[in-house]
Amino acid sequence: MTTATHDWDDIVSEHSARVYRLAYRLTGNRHDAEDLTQDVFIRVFRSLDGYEPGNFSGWIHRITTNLFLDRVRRKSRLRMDGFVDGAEERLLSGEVVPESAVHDAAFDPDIEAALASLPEDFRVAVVLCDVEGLSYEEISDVLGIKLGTVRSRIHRGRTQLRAALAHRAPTPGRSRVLGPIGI
Amino acid sequence: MAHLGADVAAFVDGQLEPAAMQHAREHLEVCESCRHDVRQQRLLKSRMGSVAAPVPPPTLLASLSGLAAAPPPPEPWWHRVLRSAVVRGGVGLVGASVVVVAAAYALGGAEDRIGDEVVPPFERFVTAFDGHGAASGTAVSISSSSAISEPVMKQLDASGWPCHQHLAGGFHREGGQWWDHREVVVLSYSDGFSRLQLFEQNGVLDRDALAGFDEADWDGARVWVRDGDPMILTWDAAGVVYTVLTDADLRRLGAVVAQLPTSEPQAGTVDRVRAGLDRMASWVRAA
Repeated sequence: MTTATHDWDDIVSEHSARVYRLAYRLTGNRHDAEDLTQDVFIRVFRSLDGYEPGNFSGWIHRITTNLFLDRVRRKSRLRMDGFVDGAEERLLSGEVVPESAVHDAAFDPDIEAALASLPEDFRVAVVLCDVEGLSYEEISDVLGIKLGTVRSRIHRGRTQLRAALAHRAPTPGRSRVLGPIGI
Repeated sequence: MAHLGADVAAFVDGQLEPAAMQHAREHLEVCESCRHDVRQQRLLKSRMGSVAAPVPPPTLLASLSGLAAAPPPPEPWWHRVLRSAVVRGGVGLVGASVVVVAAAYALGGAEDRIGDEVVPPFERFVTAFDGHGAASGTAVSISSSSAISEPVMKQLDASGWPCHQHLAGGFHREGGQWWDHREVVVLSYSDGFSRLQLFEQNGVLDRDALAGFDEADWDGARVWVRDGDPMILTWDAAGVVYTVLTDADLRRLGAVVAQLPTSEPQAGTVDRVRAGLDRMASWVRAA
């Protein structure tokens, strides 16, 4: 069992930063990113017993994005459920609040907020492409959608991102100038 | 030459086919507006790529490492895998999931709930529609436990799940039900002679699963129609798939569709509806 534990530690140290980064970009906040990362590794851990996947990071991408989208969909179902017993307090907040502004100057609060404003399907495609650097074919494989859909989601996602960035006016306390897109 | 339009992103990402790439390059030499679009997407892409992300906190890393020593209980796994797109998406990479997929199919319906694209269970809809008149008490669609109350329908209506009390052409709502663990809203309408059922569910219509349907443009609304008894119309808009089953005349349905969200923005003015009806009538004649 020591070997197995050792291997597991390797997997965690090798992939956790990457999974967390992706989870953070998708969810837009640390709390949900931690939750999602945890879920991903639980899934990975359970699945490791049975099989030996060939493309490990592709597999982890897939698990992360699918778990994320699965949660989003469950939230929207919950929104429907909520009406039945009037359990408003059970409703999860759909609001994604970017936190980076208060944490670290290296983050880009405008990008964070603009990303958070994108529909999840678009956000996933743009993040996989621009942050994770996947090709359209890899994205189509990870998300199980057609190439044409990948293409249009990325195009529409970027168009909306640009529009969102353009509308972000400078706020008091933020002296940093907007990036090239926001001008 | 045509503008790049929606190909801007694929061009910026170097994902166009070589010939299309070459065309695009030639076009960019002469088109300032496309050059502008490409430049902006490039800037955005590079800005996205340079955004820093937080490193995982030590507490998270510790708890991840701890998974090996204290694995979480396996019970919910089966349950969750059935619901998850990982099963479907993972087949290629993860051979052993084939067994799980088979089980998911055997249990039925799992593939409808996962993934973006959904295939409305048309035949079940038809069965429900047919069952309604003959034996309303035993019909699949009518079960008191899943009935949606009037106040809930109002709330649904206000939240993007249209539950109109009346539909064009004299249809009035007779009731509403939940289906499939509240994933589908089923609304039953009647005008005293004809019946109409409207099904609403999350998702995007899987275009590949529409064999037997004719695609049509109804006053800017993209719908798929399957003639028959009952006739079926289906379309999607803003993440919801709408399916209408009815024994009413096709000509009456344009105005009904116009009352619901469609994939194209609809002004819904009398003129536009009339134009749509005219177009529809010509389409019916042609069919």
